[in-house]
Amino acid sequence: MNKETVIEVQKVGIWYGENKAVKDINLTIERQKVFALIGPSGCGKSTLLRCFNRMNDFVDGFRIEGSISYRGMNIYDKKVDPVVVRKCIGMVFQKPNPFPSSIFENIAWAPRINGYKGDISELVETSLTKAGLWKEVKDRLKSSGFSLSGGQQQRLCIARTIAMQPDVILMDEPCSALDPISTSIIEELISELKKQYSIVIVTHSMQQAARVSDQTAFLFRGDLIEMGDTSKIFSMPDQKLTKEYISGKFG
Amino acid sequence: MINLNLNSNATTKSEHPLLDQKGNLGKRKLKSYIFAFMCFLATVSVIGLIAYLILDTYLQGSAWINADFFTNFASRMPNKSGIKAALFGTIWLLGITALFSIPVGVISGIYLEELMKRGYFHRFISVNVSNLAGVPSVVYGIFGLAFFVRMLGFERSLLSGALTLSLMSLPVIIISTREAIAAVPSSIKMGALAMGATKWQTARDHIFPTALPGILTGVILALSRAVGETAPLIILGAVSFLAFVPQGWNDGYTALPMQIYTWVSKPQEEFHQLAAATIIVLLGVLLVANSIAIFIRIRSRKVKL
Amino acid sequence: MTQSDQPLSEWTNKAYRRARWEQTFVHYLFLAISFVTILTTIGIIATLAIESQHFFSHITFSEFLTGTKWEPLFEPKKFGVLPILWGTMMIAFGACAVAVPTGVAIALYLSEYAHPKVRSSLKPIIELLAGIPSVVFGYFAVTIITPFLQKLLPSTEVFNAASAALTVGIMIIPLVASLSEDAFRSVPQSMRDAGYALGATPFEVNLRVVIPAAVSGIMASVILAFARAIGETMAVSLAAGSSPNLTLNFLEPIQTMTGFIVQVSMGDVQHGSIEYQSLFAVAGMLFIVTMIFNYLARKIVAKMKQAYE
Repeated sequence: MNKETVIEVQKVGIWYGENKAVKDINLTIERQKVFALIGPSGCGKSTLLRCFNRMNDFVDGFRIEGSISYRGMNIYDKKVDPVVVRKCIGMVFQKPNPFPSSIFENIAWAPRINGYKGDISELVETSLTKAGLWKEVKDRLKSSGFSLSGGQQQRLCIARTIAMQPDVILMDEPCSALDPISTSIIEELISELKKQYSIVIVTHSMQQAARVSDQTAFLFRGDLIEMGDTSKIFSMPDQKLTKEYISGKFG
Repeated sequence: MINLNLNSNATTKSEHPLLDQKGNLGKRKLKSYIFAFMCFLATVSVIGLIAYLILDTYLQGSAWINADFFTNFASRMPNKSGIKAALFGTIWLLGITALFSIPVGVISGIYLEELMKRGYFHRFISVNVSNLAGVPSVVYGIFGLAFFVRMLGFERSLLSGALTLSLMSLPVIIISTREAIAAVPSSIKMGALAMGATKWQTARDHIFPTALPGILTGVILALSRAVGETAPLIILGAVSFLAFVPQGWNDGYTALPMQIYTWVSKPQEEFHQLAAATIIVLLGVLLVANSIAIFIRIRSRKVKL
Repeated sequence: MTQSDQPLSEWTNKAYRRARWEQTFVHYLFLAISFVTILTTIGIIATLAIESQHFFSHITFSEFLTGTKWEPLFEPKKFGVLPILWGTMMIAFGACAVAVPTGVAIALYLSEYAHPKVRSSLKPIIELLAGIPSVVFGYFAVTIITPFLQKLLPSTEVFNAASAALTVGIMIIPLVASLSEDAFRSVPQSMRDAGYALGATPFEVNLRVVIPAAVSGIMASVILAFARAIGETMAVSLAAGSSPNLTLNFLEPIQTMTGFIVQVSMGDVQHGSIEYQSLFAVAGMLFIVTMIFNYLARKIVAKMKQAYE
């Protein structure tokens, strides 16, 4: 069994000003697995996710305690540059956010600024193929990223992230703005992607967590209530609160 | 094939992927820092430059500011010169301009934002107002010359000057009135309308009082722009040298910016210093006006909370 | 009980009728007052058109538009608008060359780099600078900037285009900065996030994400700044001189359209003379040019709003 840990969260507390959004959480995220963070809105799951690649650095009043280690090194270490963290740990956002440029440019930009030496068009094609979008857009790579449908835009954002060859992909409710058909396409894509990447997904949909993830953590009001294999969490959770949440008593 | 692959065998501590500074990262970060610094530098140097220009003006002119400077009329001899006529002229202009532009501007603003039906005609008036806001002040001056000075026969009087400045200030007042009214939460409006009030009653008793601080701020800014205007006054024939204080709207006049212009255009150093002294007075007046505007804005914010 | 069978009791009925009447009265009164702005526009266009028509009965339209000599005050009088149009463009382009990079850099600093507290104290200062009257900038130009340029480049003449362009540039920096900052702030945070999540540096995010996303707003601010520079009068007429020259040399004196208007107005113009009429022809041109620029800016802003709604 390959049980290599990619991200280890140790005693992490997250503050926004005076307000503690996440309270002393411990988590381990394994390589080439899909890890789901579930919980009712406001439970701190997105906040935690955005710490994994230091996107919270842009929030005023943000403060973190404890450590988040990526392959054994604290990403909040002084020696670590957030830019490098984000190169290793990519992110797909809740609402598709393509750049205001062509489909091709959306993908080619980041590798180019990072001094990618290979064939950019080839990389664009590979990334779009992996994101399952190539067939739909290959004839209009020059048209604007905004010209795509919502689901296509989200896959473009995934392709853009893949093009950077990250190790981990964070997904912050990637389907919440999409229709059911696009959602199922992206869920299939996630199972495909985990062969190569480690994925952490935040979702408010329990069915989605059950469908796509290998492991699940349930957060409630900033506390980690339970974490374990997805099959176990959804069939026989240890905690009463978890059971109530997955059976839809609240949320 | 892909050289930014980071997850291949990079597990030993010395070459941890997070510490991988290889490739172009150093150069990119340097560029990023330099760019950020340049943006900062641009901000600081523009503010610093204008501060220097004002400070230099202050040092040039401050020695000339004394009681005589305010009580003397302009003269051929610099040390006997003062700004009495210009100061009174500016006060007269400001008064008459306020008298015309505030009611017309505020009423038009309320009407356009709150009472008028949205439609083709509304759009037409709105576009027209924002067009007028972009018309250069010399063009207003030329219009004033043809209309007020010649056609209505007001000649080169305070009234011609003030009416022209009023028309120039109108668009600014209308636009800021509309913005202040648009900022009033619609819950207030809905609350009043739901009790069976007419649109006018709602506007008069609820929206207008709530928007008043914003409206006042806009009015002050518009009038302080009018106070500093020179070009239209030159075209309308404000006088360069005036040895009396205007007694009524029918009189000839000069004004502070006009006085500055006249003195700057003279070659002698002393007149430049007089101009500097007049600039101190003018900027002082504008600073007080702007401070009042800011004070109103801050106070109204406190009241709302 | 008393009101259930009579929803509108006697007094509300009366009050209601009064309120309706008042509403109608106020409506028409205010409508009439709002017409002042329309009358102003009509008045401006009519006076410019009528007097220009008199002007063009003496000077042909093509002579005006293509003539290269502007000598309205000497006999034989020549009214070729090109020299003063050229002077205006020199000042406007020169000013924009100064103001656009600087203004956009300030806007970037305020919106992307500055701490919110720093921004909230700097923004009012920048707006305050926008309120400094143009005649004051004219004084700066004549007494400080021109002598400085003369020290730097000894061939600089007392009146020169460079000093005027630089001064107008400084004047319009706050306008560019403030409008561009609004444009940058309207770029959704999610776009910046996308850039950062791909491992871009702040510079790369600004250059490739924020600026392209805000480009129409920046364009609008540049166009408005250009229009402002075209209409700018006092600093230009004090610093640039009154020599209508078709020159490329920024160190020589020139004259702008606005400078000409001031020059003629300072003298004693006879009503009905051709000089008097030429004021209207030149002002008419100014009016048309600034209207075109304002129209373009408004179109661009409307398009930008559409893109992000």
